[in-house]
Amino acid sequence: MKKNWVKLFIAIILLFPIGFLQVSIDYSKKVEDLESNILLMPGQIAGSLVLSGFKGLAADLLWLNIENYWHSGQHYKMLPLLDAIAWLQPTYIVVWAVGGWHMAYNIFANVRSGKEKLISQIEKMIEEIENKNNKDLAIKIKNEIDTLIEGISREYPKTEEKIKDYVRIVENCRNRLEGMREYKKLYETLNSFVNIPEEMLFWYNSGVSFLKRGITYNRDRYDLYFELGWTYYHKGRDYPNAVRYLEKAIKFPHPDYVDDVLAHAYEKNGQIDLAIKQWEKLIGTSFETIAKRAIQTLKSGGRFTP
Amino acid sequence: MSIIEVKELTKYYYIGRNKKIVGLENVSFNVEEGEIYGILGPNGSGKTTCLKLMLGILYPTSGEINILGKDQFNPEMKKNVGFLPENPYYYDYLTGPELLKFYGRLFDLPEKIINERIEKLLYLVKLHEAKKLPLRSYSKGMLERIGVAASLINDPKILILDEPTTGLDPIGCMETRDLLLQLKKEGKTILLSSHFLSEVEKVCDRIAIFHRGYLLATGGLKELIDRYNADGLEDLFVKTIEEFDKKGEK
Amino acid sequence: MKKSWIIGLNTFKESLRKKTLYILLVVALIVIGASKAFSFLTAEEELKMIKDVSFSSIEFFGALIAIFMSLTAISGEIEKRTIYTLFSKPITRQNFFMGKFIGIVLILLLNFFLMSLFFIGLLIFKKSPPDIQVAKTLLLIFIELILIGAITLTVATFASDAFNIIFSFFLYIVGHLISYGNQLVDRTENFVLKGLGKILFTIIPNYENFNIRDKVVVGIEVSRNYIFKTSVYWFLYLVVILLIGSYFIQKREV
Repeated sequence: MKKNWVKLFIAIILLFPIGFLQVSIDYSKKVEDLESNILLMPGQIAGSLVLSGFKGLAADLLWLNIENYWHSGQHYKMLPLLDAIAWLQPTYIVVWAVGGWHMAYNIFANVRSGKEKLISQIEKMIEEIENKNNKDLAIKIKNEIDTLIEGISREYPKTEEKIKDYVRIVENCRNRLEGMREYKKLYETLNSFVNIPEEMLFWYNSGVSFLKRGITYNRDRYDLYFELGWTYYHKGRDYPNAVRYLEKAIKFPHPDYVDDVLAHAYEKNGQIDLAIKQWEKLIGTSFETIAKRAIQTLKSGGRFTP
Repeated sequence: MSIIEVKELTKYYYIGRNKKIVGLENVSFNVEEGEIYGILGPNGSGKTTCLKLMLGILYPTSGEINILGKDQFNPEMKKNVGFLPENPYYYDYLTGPELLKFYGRLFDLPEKIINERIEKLLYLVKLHEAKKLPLRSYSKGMLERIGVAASLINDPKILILDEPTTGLDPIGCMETRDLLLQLKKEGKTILLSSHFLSEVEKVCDRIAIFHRGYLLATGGLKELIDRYNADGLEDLFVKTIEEFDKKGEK
Repeated sequence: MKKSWIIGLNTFKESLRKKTLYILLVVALIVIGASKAFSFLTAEEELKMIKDVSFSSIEFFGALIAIFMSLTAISGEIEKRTIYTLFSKPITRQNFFMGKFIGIVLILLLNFFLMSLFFIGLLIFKKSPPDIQVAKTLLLIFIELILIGAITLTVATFASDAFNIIFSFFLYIVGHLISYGNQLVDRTENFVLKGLGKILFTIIPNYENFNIRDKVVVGIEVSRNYIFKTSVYWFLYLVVILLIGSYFIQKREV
């Protein structure tokens, strides 16, 4: 009984090693990437307070909603959700990869597919125009934009420079369209049509930005460098950037196909020697046959990558 | 040396900074081995407080307690004491034997002895028929009886009983009385508190009268009746309290 | 120690009779089971969903069970006055307190075992048998639950039920936000506030130490070193809590 106070004394003393241990644990958390990210935006703190124990769960539920929006075509609604999930679990690679893919590929394509309906409407309305000048103008605008749409969706490179050019074309068309205001319905429809390439570029850019953000949270893995590199290469035909990111990807443990894509990118970027060196790395892997053919073709001055 | 010695036992309860409530004030008495000692007093006189202090359930403000030569916190001492609280209430999902086993194990008794004693005690308190029933289905009288059995599981030298006949019918009271006298014959010392004067009269060798935390008188029944010139226990009770109140007024 | 075990088993049996326990357990199992309903997701996503839901449920409902069982462990005995008979037996107050603690650990073990079994069954059913990372996560959750129960039990030695339940829930929430609190304190200029903040955040148990679920679920591996450190932290903290409870139960008058 007299020694009862000793218990409290020991308890207080023990708080010191506990404190030091906590510092050590905090350090381990940083090193092993177990720390929770804190973005000091007031609204997000509030959300974080509520969700701190259930981040993963919340992310899953949001993901369900994204699936919903995707299937019902409500693309813009996906954006804030992707942001939310990415904030909740920034190290969940799938979110970034799939998010980026949705934007740069799927929504991009979806936007483009809206043009068919608009074109048939526009053509009908053009038929009804009597004034030959206006008719020609409308046809010209329609054709220019259509060509631009097809180009952007296929072989036109989407580098920063080129994107500026495309936007200029769109602006130009819009300005000329001003002269058609009297044809109210046609004006509106053509306007929507003219917006399409801009929207497509918006989604491509969004996908790229999204992947870049993902990279800032996952700097030490190949995954998102590859996703971005691939997007630049395949969708953007932006070979300098593709090479840039793929080179970063190979610095980390990665599967062989990453080397393969980099080799192609080097070639497309005009860096033939680097392409050959890259192909040589793939000898002894499952890409050996392709690598050998590539090296042969490139050394003899031919084009390997279509 | 008496088997129980209480010396100048005092217990104050403090409410706030200034208010002091007297639980017990300077109480001293002894209990001799083999006797039945009764603590009497109206409700709130400090009887239960005294018993709880003696068992180490409450901490005294000052004073000393010696039971079997040891203080009230000594586990060795408690091995020889059995306690029956007022309005006993137990773990109602246990059966009678399960309860007795639980308490028995706390005394470090070997399983064999515990089982033997459980059988004997259930017969003794006439609960053998109900041994498969959970305690929640017991009547008040049955609970009292299982409580008595529980207080005897360790075959104690000293039994301390707080209001053992509360809620019992006349037959129950009689049976309890007989049991106490039987236990006395076996050499046990019994300390009980009660406010049923008639019961006390029939079993106790010596008594102590409590009132508002003070010990008014202690001694053999006859001795006290003569001293106060009373007509019986009830009159003795009234006279001692009157005397105390008069002193208080002075 | 033996007497603490006897009391512990008694406490365990008593807890088994509390309805709250079964309600919480059943709800937890329903929630875990419901995670399987999301079969329209890809296999990988569904697995992640199951793990997220299960880990969170086991931790959350386990915490509720820990708090509710510990809450009435001591006050129940006082209210029912069984404590008087108990203290008249040759046991020390320590025996009583440790016995209650042992009882809480046993009841938590049973519940944790049932919930985890169900969860692991689901994983096996989904052809993804649990690996060592899942085991580590579950281990940390379990020791966290013991700590939560111990704290509520200790508070019960000196405070009322009403205070205890509010305090326990408050501590549960705040205990999960210590890292955020620390980061805020790091950014403050005020020296006094910083000092007080640091002390406060050392005293409050950091439940987030035991939370590796978010990372395990996305495939990040947690080192044995981290598990070891966290376990030592848990042990030391538990000793502190039990010492405090032991101190107060000794002083307490019933």
